[in-house]
Amino acid sequence: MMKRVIDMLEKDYNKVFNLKQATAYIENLDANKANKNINVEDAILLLLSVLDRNKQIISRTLLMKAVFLFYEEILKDFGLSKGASEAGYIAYKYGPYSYQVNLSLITLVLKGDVMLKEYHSKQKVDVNDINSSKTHFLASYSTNLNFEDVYNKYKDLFAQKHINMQEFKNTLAKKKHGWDQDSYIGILRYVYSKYPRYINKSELRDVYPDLFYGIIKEDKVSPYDRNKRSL
Amino acid sequence: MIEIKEVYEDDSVDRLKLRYRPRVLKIEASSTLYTPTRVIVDTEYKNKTKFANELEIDDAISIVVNYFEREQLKSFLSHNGELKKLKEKIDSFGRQATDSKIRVLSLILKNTEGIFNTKEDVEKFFRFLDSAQLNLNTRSLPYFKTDKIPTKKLYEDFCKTFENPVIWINLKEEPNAFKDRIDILETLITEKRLQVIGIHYAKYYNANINYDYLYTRLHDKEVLLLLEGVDRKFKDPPLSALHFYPYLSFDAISPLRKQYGFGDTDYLKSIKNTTFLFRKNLFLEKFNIFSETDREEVLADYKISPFLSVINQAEEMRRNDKLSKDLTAARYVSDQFKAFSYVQQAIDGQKEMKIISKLSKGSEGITYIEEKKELKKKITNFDQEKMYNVI
Repeated sequence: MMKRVIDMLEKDYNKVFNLKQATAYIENLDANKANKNINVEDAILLLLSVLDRNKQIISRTLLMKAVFLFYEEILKDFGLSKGASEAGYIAYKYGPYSYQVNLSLITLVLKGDVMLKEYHSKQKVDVNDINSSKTHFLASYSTNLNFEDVYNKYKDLFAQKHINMQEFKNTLAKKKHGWDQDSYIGILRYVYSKYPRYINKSELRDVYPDLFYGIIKEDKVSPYDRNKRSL
Repeated sequence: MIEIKEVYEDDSVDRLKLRYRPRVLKIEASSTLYTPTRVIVDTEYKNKTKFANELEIDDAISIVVNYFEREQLKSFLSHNGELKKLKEKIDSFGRQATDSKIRVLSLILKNTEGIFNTKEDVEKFFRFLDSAQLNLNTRSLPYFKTDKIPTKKLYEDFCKTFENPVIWINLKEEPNAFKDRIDILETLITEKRLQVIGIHYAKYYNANINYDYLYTRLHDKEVLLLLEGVDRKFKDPPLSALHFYPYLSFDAISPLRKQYGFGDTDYLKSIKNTTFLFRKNLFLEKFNIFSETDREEVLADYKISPFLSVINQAEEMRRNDKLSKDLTAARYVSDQFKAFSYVQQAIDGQKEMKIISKLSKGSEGITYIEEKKELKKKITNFDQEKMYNVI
């Protein structure tokens, strides 16, 4: 029984702290700040400003996952972060989610560094039923800030790690370009298949089945795909 | 504002006795891009979302293609809500092409006879199209015939009203009407009022007069010639057609986006028929034709993604000549594998275009053509070939 509980705890990436642990955790966060690690707000700004021609990200889900990948696949690779957990990412309804990123976004919007445009569209699900419609909510985030201005805040940190700005910018621009083209559907598919530990609580884990360890099972295929097949 | 500058005209290619000379343009949108370039079509973005990847497609110019049958066009002009359908399609494309420098709509009207009965009808069509294209950075005027407004006035008004106008023409048009159209466009180009012309593709041997006139009049003009709807490959050998058309003076070339597409239900056949771009000779070949080494070479850049297991499974089914027991899984692999092949063609195709663009500026272009033997053969001898309907 005890073993099962331990197993469950190990599998669960949401941790519950007592007061002592929480204080230590917060102190650790403060210590990170003192080390001048890139903070979440600046990570968002770096991501939004990296492509000169179009400083925007469309869709909340895409932005949330792009920041996750920025931590996991770029900052971690450059030795600038321990990974997405540093930005508070946990497994949630739609894969990796961070309250901290969400809060930082709100702060940035209130500060005026990030512009947010929200819009929605309604689509009829059943043409014969006037009440059946599905609403899609979309958000577009953009910034006026320049990449260099945000980067310069951490000039010393980058110098300390021997990172060349152009190299860092090019890597990020290339990746961000790919993520943007994925839209939220593609990026979910990518994140779900590469980081399965973040989808254990996801409501969509069966909608974006992917190949884990090279095996596809019938129950991993979405109900939508199964219906289509039976038509 | 899109600023197009012709930067180089390659004289050295004359030595190859080319019938037509390639050219390179420098295009200043929000940043600079060089032609020839491969245009990314909306379906290629859709295919990218079908499998797990974070690949970057170089989409300097992207295009959303929409077909309007006669009834659809009628409905577009007379029913509420039809505009919304088109706008949603364009917006959905725009969300994925957000970093593309030039985003264009290609609206193909099938039969417009008797639809534009008054001048007001045409103007209404302009207004609807403008609002549908709000999220694009260009405005397209589709190719259609009307005698209610003289073509000259129509084009002039369009270029006057909209920023970054794109006027579409059709290579299948009757030669005299085509010539008149080109003459009007030439004036607009010279006066720097028009910088992009969209051209609906037709096979060379079916439209050689128009091809020739277009080349003669516009080859040395500062205008982006965007050729839309090119068949992906020639029949024999399976040379990539997209990489041939820069040598006929086109600056941006997009592959054909079919009007209707049906999924193949024979999944094994589908896996076997999936084609990839083989950069060594610019062939679009089926997966099973490649040798083990060649396959490795083609897939080298794509092996890092979590998608690798799909490639391996497809490869296993192809090698064993049988599907896995789970048919749903087989379908899943087949669909994803096909989507992957289109993205591979787009990424590697663009890489080759960049090489052509870079080399066309100097004599190194000759070396490139010498290396791609079938391309050279096609460029130098294509009008002597007896294979009508091939090009």
